[in-house]
Amino acid sequence: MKTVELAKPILSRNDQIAAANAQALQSHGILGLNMMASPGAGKTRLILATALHPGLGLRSGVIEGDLATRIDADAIAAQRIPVTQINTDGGCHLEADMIANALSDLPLDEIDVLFVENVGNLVCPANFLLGTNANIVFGSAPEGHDKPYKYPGIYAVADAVVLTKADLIPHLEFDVDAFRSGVRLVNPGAPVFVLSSRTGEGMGAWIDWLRAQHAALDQASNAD
Amino acid sequence: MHEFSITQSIVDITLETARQHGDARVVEVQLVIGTLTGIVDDSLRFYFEALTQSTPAEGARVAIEREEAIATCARCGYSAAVEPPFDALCPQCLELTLKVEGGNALTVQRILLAEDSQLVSDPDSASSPAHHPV
Repeated sequence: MKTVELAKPILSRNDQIAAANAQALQSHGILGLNMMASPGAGKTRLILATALHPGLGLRSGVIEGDLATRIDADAIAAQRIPVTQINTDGGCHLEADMIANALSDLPLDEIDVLFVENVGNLVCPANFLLGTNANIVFGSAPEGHDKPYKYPGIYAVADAVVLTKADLIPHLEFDVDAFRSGVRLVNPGAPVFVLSSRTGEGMGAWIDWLRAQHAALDQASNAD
Repeated sequence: MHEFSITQSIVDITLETARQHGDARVVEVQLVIGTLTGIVDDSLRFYFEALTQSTPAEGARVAIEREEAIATCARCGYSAAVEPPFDALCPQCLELTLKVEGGNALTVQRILLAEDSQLVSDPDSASSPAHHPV
């Protein structure tokens, strides 16, 4: 019997396409964000609140990912933000080739920050690189503070964690410290932003972080 | 769920390797898969079987080595493999100091090929005639 040693990453083809996507984003000076959360956590709402925030100072673009419908893309298009919708027809996560196709539908020269709203799912998206610069993982207050413990795979790959619907916390048995501890357990370095898209509380720190991430991109590309 | 997409990639890598060795029959595919990837062994094997019908990899064994997530305490050095749900409490020094790393591996480690199909370019059997399995 012949043994062929490979040690080859299973998703190497996806990762290659992701690297090409990253290159395309970098050449346009775009900060790409992979937004991952359960269905209903508030991804679309936060994208809108962020894109329309007077303090953002960056032009937004959106790639929407859902199994079906244009509901989210239509809501974003209604605010005159460049957006394209990917329908996976049953696929439970976005992959790099889908993003590569979607990028050609967007005016990349008119975008500074690209929000990629992944399919609502706390398991699968963690494994599939898209070519974005940062993974943003959401929890929402009504989901409970134990989600970082139950879904460590996705929280471990987060570059930042957002806790949405913070305005509901007084009505829930949600323990913010327990949530933060759960995130720290698998991801000591990720900042946690506690906010409400609806009331605007906590949005300032999130906007500041985004602006800093985009500025760091400019510095990195100028250094080349 | 997403075992299909991942298995498709495993099959692509496997068949490409078999192709590079004259479409040799695949005996075993050895994978390393982290416990935090959420991949279910049975689903993966189910899709592998379906996707390798009528290929050199039909009937191949799929061996899965699990890469564990390891919790470590920076305070007292305690270290152990852990499964979710995770607990930050270190059982040795009783502080909330555990940090978890690893468990995300997704690799085709090695492939075992049968040597009953020899090919002209195989350096070990330069004198054997080329054999092309049906």
